[in-house]
Amino acid sequence: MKPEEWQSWLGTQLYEQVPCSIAVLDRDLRIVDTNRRFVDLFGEGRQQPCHEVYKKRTEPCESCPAAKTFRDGKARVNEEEGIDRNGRPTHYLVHFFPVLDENGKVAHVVEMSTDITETKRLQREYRTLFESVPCYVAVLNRDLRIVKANRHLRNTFGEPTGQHCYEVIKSRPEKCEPCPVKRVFADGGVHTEEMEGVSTDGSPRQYIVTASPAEPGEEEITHVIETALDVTELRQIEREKIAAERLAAVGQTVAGLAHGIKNILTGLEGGVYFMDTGLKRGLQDRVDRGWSMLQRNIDRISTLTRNLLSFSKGRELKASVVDPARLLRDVVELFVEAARQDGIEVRAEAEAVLPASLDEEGIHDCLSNLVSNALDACQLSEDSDRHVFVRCRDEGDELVFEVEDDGCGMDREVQKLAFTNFFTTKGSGGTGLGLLLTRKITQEHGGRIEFDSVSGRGTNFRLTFPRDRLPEPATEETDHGDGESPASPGPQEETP
Amino acid sequence: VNRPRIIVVDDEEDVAGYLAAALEDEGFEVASFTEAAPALTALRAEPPDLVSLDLLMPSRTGLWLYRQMREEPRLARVPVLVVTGLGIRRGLRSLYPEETAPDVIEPDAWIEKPIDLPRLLEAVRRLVSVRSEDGGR
Repeated sequence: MKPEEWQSWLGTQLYEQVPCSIAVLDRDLRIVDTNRRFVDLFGEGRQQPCHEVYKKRTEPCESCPAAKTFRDGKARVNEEEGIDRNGRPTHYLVHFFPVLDENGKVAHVVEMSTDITETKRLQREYRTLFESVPCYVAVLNRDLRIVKANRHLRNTFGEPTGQHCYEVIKSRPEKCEPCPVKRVFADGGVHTEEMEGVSTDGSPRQYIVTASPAEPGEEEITHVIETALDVTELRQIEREKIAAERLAAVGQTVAGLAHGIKNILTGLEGGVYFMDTGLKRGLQDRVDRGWSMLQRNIDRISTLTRNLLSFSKGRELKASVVDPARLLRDVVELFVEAARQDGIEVRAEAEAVLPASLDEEGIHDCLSNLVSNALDACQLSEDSDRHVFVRCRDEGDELVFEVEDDGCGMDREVQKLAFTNFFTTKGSGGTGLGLLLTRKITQEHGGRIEFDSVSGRGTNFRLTFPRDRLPEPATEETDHGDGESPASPGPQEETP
Repeated sequence: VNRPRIIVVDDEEDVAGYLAAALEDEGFEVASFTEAAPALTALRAEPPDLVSLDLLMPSRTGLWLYRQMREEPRLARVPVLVVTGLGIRRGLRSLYPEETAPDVIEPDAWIEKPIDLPRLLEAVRRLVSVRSEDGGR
């Protein structure tokens, strides 16, 4: 194409091809010409005053930019609102520029309008979302100052613009540690923390705070959007639910305890029966048998009482940073030899895991209880090749201990009763406290206990500890000085 | 003389031994077990005149043994006397959260521990005599 050709094309075609509506006005603000797009958007408008066509007004607009351009000959841009040919509200961005006559006077003004109705709709939606979400939303700059806050935040804390976020939401004079916003500025990722704050009346509040870059993908992060969801009530409901469950568990505990005591009483009764009939008939064997039954069951009730007391009393966690794999191997060592004599292999399969803040004695008791249970289950198995595997590993942000056996397993009824109660299925071997205690210590560490079991095939117990919920290590060793032994029934007395 | 046969199942050795001795002293022939699975094998080999059954036992519970017996024609009519530390009225339900309570079982008699021996012997004699009138083994 030669220059004359494309210049001719521009002169004749560009008017119709540009992606905006064009109208040419005379000094009376009447439309003298339009392109096709203009007609499509506003309808046929020639020879009509522009305010009638754009805005369906009878009077000229106040402060008309076209009139200004006629007066001063300057181009300008303005955002306008109008009504399209179908009666729908329309938003458009208008460029006004003058067309001069041979004397240099403004003969006509050209209006080029770009339809921004969709953009305006999205802006409105964004604003509504920003203002109405039921959590605090703030846009922060690199100084952690609030440059914009939503209604919920303004209503609770007053106008916060220009203040530091920690001053507003937490009423504290210095930055929080850890600060998710600082992490976003550092790595550009999205970060979430559960944090404590203070409400305007000074009461403590719990927040889940999420921080993300205001303009993801940009090389330099200038602003971060922080949302804080107040979960104080939710956490309160969670605590109440736990308390209610504990109360319900008390009823089952008493029933389970009664069951255990009744069994011991029956053992005592049996002892008396053997003594009585043995003495009457002069059968020393019977007397001896009765005597040992009495001794055994008196021992059991003493143990039960002692353990019950220490269980109900509990003890404070004394956390320190330990190597979980080393702790696990210590426990396994206790059992290996005795188990081998019974033909059971106990094996530690400890992966290298990160150190963790644990109450060493408590976790030792938990693992001992589980291993001891596993050995009992193996004793009951008819299979001669029996194993207990004790494992630990990191799974994401969680530390997992696992005790797996290929012993007798538990049937449906025993599985259901494993934690809910205070009962033993081990005859004279248990007090029904081991699993309860294991669960208690696990929960005190913020962890959970779960198991899978198949009757006749074995059981797998797992203690899972989310690392962010582990107790803080005690700053220094403190002696509580009460001389109490820990609330552990020891490894020999537990539930199924 | 054929003495009536009783199988005692209780995971507590002391309790199983006590029941066995007391019943033998009354003239019954007794075999005792501390686990449910071997007890079932013995029951199948020769159905007894009565089973004295504990409910909460490791691995396999008394509930499991009871249900097995009721499903097998040769064992379905053998009287079962439940001897347990659980309360008679609420039984297992007292131990469970409501939603997980097991199906109720209906043994021929239910004796709560600690055992009132005369009452237990009376129940045993009653159930065994009904059994012999019923046609015995």
